[in-house]
Amino acid sequence: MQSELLIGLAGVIASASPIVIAAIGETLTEKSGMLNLSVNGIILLSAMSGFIAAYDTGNLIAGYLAGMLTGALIGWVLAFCTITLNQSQVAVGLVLAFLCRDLSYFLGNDFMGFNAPVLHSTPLPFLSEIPILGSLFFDQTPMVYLSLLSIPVSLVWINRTKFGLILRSVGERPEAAFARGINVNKVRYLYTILGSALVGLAGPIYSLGLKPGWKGSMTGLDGIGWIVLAITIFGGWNPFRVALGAYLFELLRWLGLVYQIKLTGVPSQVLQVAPFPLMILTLMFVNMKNAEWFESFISLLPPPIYRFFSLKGKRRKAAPSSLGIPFRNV
Amino acid sequence: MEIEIRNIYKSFGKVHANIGISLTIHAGEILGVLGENGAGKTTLMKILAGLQPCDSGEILIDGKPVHFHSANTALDLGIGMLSQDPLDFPMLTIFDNLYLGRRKRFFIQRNRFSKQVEKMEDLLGFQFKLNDLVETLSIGERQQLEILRLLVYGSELIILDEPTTGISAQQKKQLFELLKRLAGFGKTIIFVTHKLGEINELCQRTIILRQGKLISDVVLPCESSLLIQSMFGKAIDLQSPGDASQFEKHFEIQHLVIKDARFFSNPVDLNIRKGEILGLAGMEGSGQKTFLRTLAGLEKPINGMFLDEGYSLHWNSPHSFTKRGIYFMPASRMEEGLIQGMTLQEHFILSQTKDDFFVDRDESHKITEMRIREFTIRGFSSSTAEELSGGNQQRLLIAMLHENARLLLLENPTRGLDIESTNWMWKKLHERCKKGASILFASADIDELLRFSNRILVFFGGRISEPYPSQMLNSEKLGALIGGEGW
Amino acid sequence: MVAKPKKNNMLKRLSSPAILSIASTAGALIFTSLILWMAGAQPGLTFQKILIGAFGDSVKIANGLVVWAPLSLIAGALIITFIAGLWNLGIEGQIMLGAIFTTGAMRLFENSSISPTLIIILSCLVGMVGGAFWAALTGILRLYGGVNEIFAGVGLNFVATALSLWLIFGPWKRPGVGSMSGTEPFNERLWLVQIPGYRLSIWSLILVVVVYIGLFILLKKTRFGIQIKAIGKNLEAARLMGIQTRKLMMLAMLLCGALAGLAGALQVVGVYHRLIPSISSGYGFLAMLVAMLANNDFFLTLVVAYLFSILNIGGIQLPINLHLDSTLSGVLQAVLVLFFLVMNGLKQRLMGRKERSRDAE
Repeated sequence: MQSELLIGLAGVIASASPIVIAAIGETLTEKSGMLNLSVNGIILLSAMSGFIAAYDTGNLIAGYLAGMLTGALIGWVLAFCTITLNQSQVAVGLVLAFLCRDLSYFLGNDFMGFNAPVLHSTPLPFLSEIPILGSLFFDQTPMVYLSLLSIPVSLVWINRTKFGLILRSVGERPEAAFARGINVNKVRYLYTILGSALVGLAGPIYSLGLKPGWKGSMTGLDGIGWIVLAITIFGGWNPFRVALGAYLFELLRWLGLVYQIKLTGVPSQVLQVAPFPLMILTLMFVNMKNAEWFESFISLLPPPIYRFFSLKGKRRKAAPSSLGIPFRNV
Repeated sequence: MEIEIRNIYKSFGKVHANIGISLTIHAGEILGVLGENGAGKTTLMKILAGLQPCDSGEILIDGKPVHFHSANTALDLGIGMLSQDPLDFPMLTIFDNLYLGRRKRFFIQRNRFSKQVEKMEDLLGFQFKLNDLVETLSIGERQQLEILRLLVYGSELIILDEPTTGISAQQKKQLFELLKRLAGFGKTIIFVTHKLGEINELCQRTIILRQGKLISDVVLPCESSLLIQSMFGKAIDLQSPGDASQFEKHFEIQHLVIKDARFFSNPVDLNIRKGEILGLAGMEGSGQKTFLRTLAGLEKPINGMFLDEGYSLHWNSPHSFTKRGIYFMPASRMEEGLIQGMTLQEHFILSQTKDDFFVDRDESHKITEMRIREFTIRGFSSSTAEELSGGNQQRLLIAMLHENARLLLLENPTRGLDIESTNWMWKKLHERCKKGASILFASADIDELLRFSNRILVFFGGRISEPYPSQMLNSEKLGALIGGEGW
Repeated sequence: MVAKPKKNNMLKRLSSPAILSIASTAGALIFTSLILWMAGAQPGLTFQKILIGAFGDSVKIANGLVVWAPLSLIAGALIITFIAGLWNLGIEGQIMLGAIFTTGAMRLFENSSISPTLIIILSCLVGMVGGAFWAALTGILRLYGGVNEIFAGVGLNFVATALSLWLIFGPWKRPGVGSMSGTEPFNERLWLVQIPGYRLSIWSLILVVVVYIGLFILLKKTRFGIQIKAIGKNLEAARLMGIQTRKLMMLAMLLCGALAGLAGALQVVGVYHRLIPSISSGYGFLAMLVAMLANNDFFLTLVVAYLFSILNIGGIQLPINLHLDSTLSGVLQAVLVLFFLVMNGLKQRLMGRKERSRDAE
C-alpha cells in the first residue's frame, strides 16, 4: 500500500516536470515585464515539432532541441510584434496561441500514431537507494531531474546574480533601469525568447516521455498552457511557489484518477477535467489578496493580525510593476 | 573635478529647452540652478548626466571633452544625478537598489559590497537596513539612498533636481548638512531648485535660467528681489481685478485636508463666491493638483467637508460632482483630458452630462460646429483629438467645459498658449464668470495669477496659505511666497 | 486646414485600410502556402478544394451560414467588450453557460403545455441570462476582486466545461448511460424550424440581422456606446470626465455575456437540439480573431465572420480529399490576424517618426 502511494507521488513529480519548466520559463518572461499568452500554443507546437525531430533523427536530444527552438522562434515573433512593432501584447499572444495550436494539429497530422524514441528513467547511483526520497526524486528521467534542478537554478539566477537583478529591475521600473544604463528592450527580447524556449522544452517532455507520440487533438495537451499561465501569475512570480503550484495541480489530477474508482457518483469525465477549474479557482482566491478592498478590510483588524495579512512592505506576490506595459525611451 | 559646459543647445520640436548655455563648475563648489517651471533646468541637468543627448555643444571634464553614450558613461566619469522623483525601485530591497547596474561579477557579491556600503554609511551617518524594501522608506530617505548609491560608485559631481520638494524641514536640514559635508570632501554639487531661501542657505553661487537661456550668474548671498527679477523677468505690476468679497457665497470648504503622494496638507477653510476667480500659485507638485482633483471628486480627502450652497458633497463618485455642475480640466491634454482616436463631436457628446439614452447626432453636430467657431478651433467635428495642434487641443478642452458649469477647476489652463490665445482664453473664462460660475485655476505663471485672480492661494511643500486678495500682492511678493519666503 | 505635403499623402494612401488588408491577406496566403509546402501538399489544389468544400453545392453554402450565424453573434458581442477595453476571454464559458441554461429551461418546459414557440423563446431568454451571469462573474472578479479579466475568463471557461460534462454524465445523462454524444435530444416539435433539406434555420439569420442593427444603434447612436468607447481608449480621461467607469464596464460585460448566451442557446435549439460537451465548438475564440481582424467594425465583422465560416466548412473535406488536417482553416485564420497586426505595426512605425516630433511639443 505504501509503495503504491510512493509510486503515485513519484508519478506526480514526473508528470509535473513539464509544467514546472514551462512555468519557470514564463516566470522569467513576465519578470521582464512581458506577458506571453501563447504558452498553450507553444507547448502543443513544440510537442509536435520535438516529436517529429526525434522521429526523423531517432535522437532524443534533437527532439528536445527542436522543441526549444520552436519556442524560441515563437518568442521572437512575440517580441518583434510587441516591442519593435508596438502591438498589444495580449492581442499578439492570443493570436499566436491559436495559431500554434492549429499549426501543431495540421503539421502533425501525417505523424499521428507513429512511434518515436521515449526517454526512460535513469536512476541516479547511490541517491536512488535512499529510502522514500530515492524512489521519489532520484529514480526518474533526466528531464525530471532537469525540472527539479531548474527551481534552485532559476531562484539563484533571479535573486543572486547580476543578470537576475537586471531582469527584476526592468520588470519593476523600466525608466529607472534605463537611467542606470540598462537596455530595457534588449533585456525584454532576450527573456521573452529564453522563457519561450523553456516553454518549448515542455512540449517534447510530453511527446517523448510522459505521453509518448503525437495524437493530434487527442494528445490531451490543450489547456495545459493556460494552467501554466495561471500558476505563474498566482504563484507570485516566484519559481519555488510556481513549482509548488505545478505539483499541486498534478496531485489533484492523480487524486482524480485514484478516486475515479471510489467515487461512483461523480462521472469519470468530470474527475478528469476537474483539476483545471479547481486549480484556477484556488489560485484566483489566493490572488484576491491583491484587491484594494482586501487591504482596506484588514486594516480594520487589530495591528498584529493586520501586519500578518497585509502585503504592504512585503509585496512578495505582487506582479512585476510594468508587466504588459511597453517601454519607449523618448 | 572641474566641469565646463560649452554652448549647449537642445530643442524638442518647436520648443527650445536650452539655448546656448555655457558654464564652468569648480571642484568643491555648491552651485545653485534657479528658474521657474519650463526654464530648461531639468533638460540641462539630464544632458549633463548623460540621460539625454544635446543637439549641439560640448561638455569638458578637467579640460577634456567627453561624450556620454548612456547614463553609465556619465556615472563612470563620476557624474551622478538625483531625479526629482527618485528613480529607484520601490519593490526591490535597499541592497539591490544600491547594487544594480554597476557590477561586473556574475554572482552578487553580497558581503563585500555590504561592507563597502557600510563604510560609506559610517562616513555619512546613514543607517539603512539593507534587506528592507525601498517602498518602506520616506521620500527623504530614498534621496539619501540615492546619494549613498552615487557616492559608493565614486561620483565626484552630484546633481540634485528639486530634492526638497517632498521632504520635511528636519530632513531638509539633514540633507543640507550632508551636502555641505560632501563639498568639504571636495565633491561638486549642483542643486536645482526654485526655492530662493534654499539657494541663499546652501549655495555659494547660482545661475538663473529663463526660457532656456542662462540669464545671470550670481555670487551668493544676494538680495531675493534681484533673484526674483531674473527668474520671472521684468516685474510688471498689473492691474488686479477687484475685490470679490461682496459676491454671493457659492461653495464652502471646511477643514479640508488633502493627501498628496508625499504629504498631508494643513486643514483649509475657504468660501468660494459666485463669479469669483481663485488662483492657485506654487511650483508644480506642491499640492495644487491634488487640491483641484479633490474638489472635483476624483480623489478622496483625509478629512473635511465640501458644501455646495449648504448641500454636502460626498466623495462616492466623480459623477455626483459633475451632476452638480462641478467640472475639472486636467493639465496633461492627451493623457488625461482628451481621448485619442475620438472625434471632436464625440468629445462634446461626452462632455454633456445629459442622461438621455440616444444621442442626437445632428444636434450634437450643430453644437460641435458652433463651439468650433466660437472657440476658433482649427479642426472639424470629425477630426480626432490627436490631429489638433497643442494650442487647439487646449481650446477644445476649454470648449468642452459645460455651459451651465457652476464651478470650474482648471489645471494650468493656458499652458503652451501664446499671449494672444491666453488673452482670448481668459475672455472666454470671464464670460463664464459673468454667468455666475466660479473658477479655481492652477498656474505657474505669476503674471497670469495676479492679472486674473480675485484671490490667490499659495501652495508650498504641502502647506496651503490663507487666500490673499490679489491686490495685496505684487509679482515680487508672490514670487517670494512661491519660493517659501514670507510665510 | 493647411494643405499637407505630398509625402504624407503617399504614406496615408499606403496605409489605408484596403491596402492594409490586401497586404495582410497576401502575406497570410504566402505563409500558409509555405506551411502547405512543408506538409507536402500543393497549395493551389488545397485552396481550390477549400473553395469547393465551401461552395460545392447548396447544402455546403447553407452550412457556411449555419456557422456564420453564431460566429457573427459572438463576434458582435465581443465588439462591445473590446470597445470597452476588456479582453473577454471568458467568452467560451459564456456561450456554454447560455447553452446549459437553455437546455435546463427546455428540459423543464418540455412536457408542459406551453406552446413550442413560447418554450423556445423563453429558453433562449434563459440562455441569455446564463451567459450574462457568467460574464458578471468575470466582471466582478476584474472590477472588485483584483483578478485580471483574461485569467478570470480562462478559469471560468474551465469551470463551464466541467459543469457541462458533469451535467451530461450526471444529472442530465441519457437514459441508461451518459455519453460524449450529449444529452437526450429534445422532442422534434421543440426544434427551431429549419429550411427543409438544410440544417439552416432562417430564424438564426434574422436574429443576427436584428442583433447587429441593435448593436449598431447601441454603439453608434447612444451615450452608452460613446462612453464605453471613451473608457476603452483612455480609462483615466473617461474617469476625469465624470463617466461612471465601473458601472459601464460591468454593463458591457453583461451585454456581451447575454449575446454569447444567445449564441449558445441557438446552438442548442437550432443545431444540436441537445447539450453536447463542446457546444461552443471553439467559436468564442474564433470570434475573437474575427473581431480583431475586423478592427471592431460591424460590417467588416460580418464579412470576416463569413470568410472564417467558409474556411471552417471548406476545411472539413480536406482530410478525405487530400489527407490534410482540417485545422488548416484555423491556421489560415490566425495567420491572417497575425499578418494584420504586423502590417498595422509597420504602418505605425512608418508614420510614427513624424508623430514623435510633434508629441515633444
